[in-house]
Amino acid sequence: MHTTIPARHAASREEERKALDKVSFGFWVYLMSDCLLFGTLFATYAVLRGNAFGGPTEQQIFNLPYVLVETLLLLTSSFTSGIAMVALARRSVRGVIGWLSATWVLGASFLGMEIAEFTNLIRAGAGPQRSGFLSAYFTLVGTHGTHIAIGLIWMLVLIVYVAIRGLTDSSARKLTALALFWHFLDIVWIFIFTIVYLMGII
Amino acid sequence: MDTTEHTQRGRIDSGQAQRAARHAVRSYAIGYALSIAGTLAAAGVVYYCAIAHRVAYSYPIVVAVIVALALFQLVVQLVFFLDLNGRPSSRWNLTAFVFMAIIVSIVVAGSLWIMSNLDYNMTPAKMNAYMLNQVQNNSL
Repeated sequence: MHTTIPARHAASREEERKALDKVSFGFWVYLMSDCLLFGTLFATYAVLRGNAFGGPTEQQIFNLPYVLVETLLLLTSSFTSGIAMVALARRSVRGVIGWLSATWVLGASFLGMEIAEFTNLIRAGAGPQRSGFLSAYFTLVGTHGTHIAIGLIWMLVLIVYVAIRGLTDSSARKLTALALFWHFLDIVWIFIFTIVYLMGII
Repeated sequence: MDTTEHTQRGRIDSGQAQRAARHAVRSYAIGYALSIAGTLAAAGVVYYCAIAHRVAYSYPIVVAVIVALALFQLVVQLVFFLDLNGRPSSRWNLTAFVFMAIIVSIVVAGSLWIMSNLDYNMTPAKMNAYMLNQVQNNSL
């Protein structure tokens, strides 16, 4: 009797590991297709970036220190979401909730800065309807921001879920997918930072 | 007998888990530090060249440098954050990634190529030459 229990336990853990691998791979394939979406938006931006149509140009509206702070906020949130995954491996409910909350605050600050930036541009008459450049800019950066907003809602739901249900196999799968999503958004932002902002300023 | 064996196994498991957790923290810390270094380096290059005008610079070289720094950060984050390292466990993830990268390069490079070609061929001087050519051909 006693010997079967650890054996069954090991078998179910093996099954759970396989299920986690399947979810991670499926989610990875989704992320890669999401990358194709961003790829087309980057292509559109690269084609339209010079067409300011007499309106403000890249140099006139991009502010390097402001964008650098945004970048560092998002990068740090990607790091803290990784540490939340370490807390998950350690089965620490407190650790997961704490690090995810830190990630949420950093991500929300990033989104707040982006919304402020967009609001200022639109108020100054440099909205998406002003020129081809601004249409492409708002579409590309706005799509990334929308992803961030969805990620923040998802993260909030998971924090509550973990607080109520604890770290079950099902919450582990959800948290793993969320961490992949968040790292992926940071990687997309590296290219927005470089191609849109840095290349626009020089 | 059974119980001691069980607790021993449990201890080994938790020892392995601790080591794995330490390894993961180190991996995230290295990735974070390298990404910050890459971001600050790229911002620094742009600041010194384009904003402070401390040095004379050529546009293509600065673009090449900051794109190289972005690709460096991409690799750093794939390896240290997403654990994408060509090991058998992540081979299919890598395959999907490479496929995505090929498609994105074709879309981006192809769009730029086609649009610059159109731009080049449809400048007023070129159009004029083209139309004159057509007229001459027709009158002959």
